[in-house]
Amino acid sequence: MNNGFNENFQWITLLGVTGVYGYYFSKVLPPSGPDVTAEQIVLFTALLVLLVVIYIVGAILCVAIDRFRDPKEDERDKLIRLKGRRNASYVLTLGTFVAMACAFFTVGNFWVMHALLGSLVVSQLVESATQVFCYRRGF
Amino acid sequence: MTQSALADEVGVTRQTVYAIEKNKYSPSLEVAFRIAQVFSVSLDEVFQYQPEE
Repeated sequence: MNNGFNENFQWITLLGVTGVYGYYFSKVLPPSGPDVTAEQIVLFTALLVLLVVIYIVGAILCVAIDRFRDPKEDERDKLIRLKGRRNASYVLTLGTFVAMACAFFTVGNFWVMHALLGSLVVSQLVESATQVFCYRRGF
Repeated sequence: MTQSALADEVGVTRQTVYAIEKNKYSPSLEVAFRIAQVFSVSLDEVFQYQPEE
C-alpha cells in the first residue's frame, strides 16, 4: 500500500532534521570557546533556511505522490500526532533541565544554547519517529 | 467497494480504512457507525469484539 501524506512527510522530517542538524553539530562540536561565535550563528541560520526549503520541497513531493488525494488529517492521524507530541514533550522537559544545569555549571552561553537546540532537535526526531512507528506498526 | 471509495464516504483516509481492515486500528464509535451505515448493516455485523489473550 502507498503511504499517506502525513507518513511520508514524517519521513522527510526525520531525514531532513537528522541531516541538517547532524551536519551542524559535527561542525560546532567540540566547542572552540565558552560562547557561541558569529560563524556558528551564520551556519545555524543558513541551515535553518535549508531545512525550511527541504520542508517546502518535501511537502510538494508528498502531495505529488499521494495519488489518492486523501483528506489532510483524520481521527487516526490526530491520535498519532498527539502521541508523537506527548513523547516529544518528555524530551523537551528533560532538555530544559539539562539547559538549566548547563547555566549553573558551565561558563558562557555555548552549552546552554546547544542544550536547548539539542533538545529541540531530539524532540522533533522523537515526534517524527513515534509517528512513523505508529503508522508502520499500527495504532 | 474499494478502500478509497469507502474512505471517501466515511470521511477518513484510505490508510485508516486499510489499518481498520488489518486490525491495526480501532476506529471511534462515530466512524464505526458511519461504516455500518455505508453498507446498510448493523454495527455488530461489521465489527466484533475479540478480547486480547
